[in-house]
Amino acid sequence: MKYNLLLVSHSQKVTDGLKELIEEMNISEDTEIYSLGGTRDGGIGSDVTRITDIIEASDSDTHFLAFADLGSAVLNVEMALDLINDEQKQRYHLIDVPLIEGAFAAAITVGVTDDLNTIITEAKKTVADKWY
Amino acid sequence: MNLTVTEVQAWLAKFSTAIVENKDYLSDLDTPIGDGDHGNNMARGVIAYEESVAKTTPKDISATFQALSMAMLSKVGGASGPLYGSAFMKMTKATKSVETITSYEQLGDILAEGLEGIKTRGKVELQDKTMIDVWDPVVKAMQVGELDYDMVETAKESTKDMVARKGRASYLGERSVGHIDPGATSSALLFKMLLEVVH
Repeated sequence: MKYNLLLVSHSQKVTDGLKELIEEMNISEDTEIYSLGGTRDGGIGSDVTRITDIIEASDSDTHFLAFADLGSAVLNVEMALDLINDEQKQRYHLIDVPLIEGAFAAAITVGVTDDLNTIITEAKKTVADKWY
Repeated sequence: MNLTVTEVQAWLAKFSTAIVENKDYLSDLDTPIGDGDHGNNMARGVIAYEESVAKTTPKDISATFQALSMAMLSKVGGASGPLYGSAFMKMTKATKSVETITSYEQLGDILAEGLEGIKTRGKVELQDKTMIDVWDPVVKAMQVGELDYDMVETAKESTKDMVARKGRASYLGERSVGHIDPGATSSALLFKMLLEVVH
């Protein structure tokens, strides 16, 4: 089993930057980070078909953790559930945490454990732990 | 009433034209309370729909709605993409074996499915200053055969005095009052064009 991360924002620069930030860390080589901010032509916005294209091209051993920041980015990670089949739904997980902090923590955690609950817990901790 | 795939495609062609004609107006409405892109976003969606229809020539109402849904989902970029996309995806399902729409009630029920799609996707309620404030009264009036142009216009205008509770406009709170909602305006165009085809 492997976990890939789908990063969704209105801005490609946001998710490109986040991907860069995550890949600076010593994460598992099996984990792929997809920067899906912006529209297909690089404009401001988001596009659900960029998410579903990746899921549809994947094998049944690959799980996806989806992260989003605002507005249509959030609508589109949810929208993807209406476009994929039941088997794919089992492998597509919406992680409701702040995009940057949550994805960063999750990316590191997937290298340590396969347990989805642990991954989500670590991603959510980033909210609770901020500003001591 | 006798709406076949021909009339439905005529409706959506009129809608596409109306969106393109009102592109700048829709973006202007979006400027004080959003990011000023509603017109451009919607125009990209309807142009993609027209291209898709020209290429695939959908044979029935359901396939036509699906073409609009996918064009909105993949080309709009902003929140109206998944919202219109969800509406027309629900309407795609609601018309699966429908050859002809023969009554106001039937048409209203199909639109009601679309409304449900928007509500579910956007987690929106009435009076949130969104497209729902047009869709909801329109659907109800259509179901009983009483929808007219003025009713659509009134529903759209009613969003002017509302405080936005969804989307980027919601950050503005009271400052959103005095501006007509852009999504309500594009939805009003959708239903005005429908009335032109129905009558």
